[in-house]
Amino acid sequence: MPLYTCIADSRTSDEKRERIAVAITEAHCKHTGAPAEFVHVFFNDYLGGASKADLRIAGNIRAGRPPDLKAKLHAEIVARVTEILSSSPSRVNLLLQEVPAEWAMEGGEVLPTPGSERDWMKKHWSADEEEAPAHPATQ
Amino acid sequence: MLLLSTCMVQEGQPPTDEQRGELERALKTVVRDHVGPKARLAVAWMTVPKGSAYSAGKPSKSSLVQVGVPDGFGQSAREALMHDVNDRWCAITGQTRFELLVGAMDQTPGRQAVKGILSQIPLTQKPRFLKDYLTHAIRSLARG
Repeated sequence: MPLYTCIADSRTSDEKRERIAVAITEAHCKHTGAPAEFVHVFFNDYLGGASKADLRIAGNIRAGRPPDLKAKLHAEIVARVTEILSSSPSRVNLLLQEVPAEWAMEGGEVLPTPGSERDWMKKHWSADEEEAPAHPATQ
Repeated sequence: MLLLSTCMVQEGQPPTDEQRGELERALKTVVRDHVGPKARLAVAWMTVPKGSAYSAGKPSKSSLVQVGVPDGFGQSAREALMHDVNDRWCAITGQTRFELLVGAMDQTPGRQAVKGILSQIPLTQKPRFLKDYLTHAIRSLARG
């Protein structure tokens, strides 16, 4: 968590998908302080050629962040995706939904509330575990 | 009591079709064990096209499983349910715990989350999405 589900056109190239995933990840981490390893971006191809949008995104993020932070996050994701797709902001639709952190689990552990990710990762994602994603907290 | 589970998996990654059946049975058992014997679970599958999932901005093999629980479900019971889902999913699929996201949302906000995704799908494509999504759920219910 967060999980950003992107509803894309099947013609959106792999290269653009990867750039969008990176842009969403960077924007999310910049504004929330969450580690990149928490950010998941999935694409589904449900946009057709006649769609009024070039990308629609449903973002489930952990609850507990102030409205102005979410507004900045929203604005940056829309701006960066718009640029990648050479689109216009009106054709990139982002819906942010909040989910309590304690309702989700990653790496076999219940997620921390926003702001306590580093301690959580040090405690639960030990560096000597081969499968654990590399992350700054343990390096 | 009817509850809904949504599994988001990737084309070309675990679980296999055979494992999906095993996972459905495991999820239903988990819900009966933790919620109660009268709880019925419908499992819907969303398959992401090959190579269309990323974690930390890099291609990932991750899957997501969201299990609806009754509104107001206690946190300790919720955590026990999520641990059970996590352990069974990883045992069946061979995925590591770092390749799985588990959610146990109260059913009302859980449905809102699905509606949020649905709201992002254009009107012309909604029938295709609903057919994909609901067909799985209805078949899952029919299997008991």
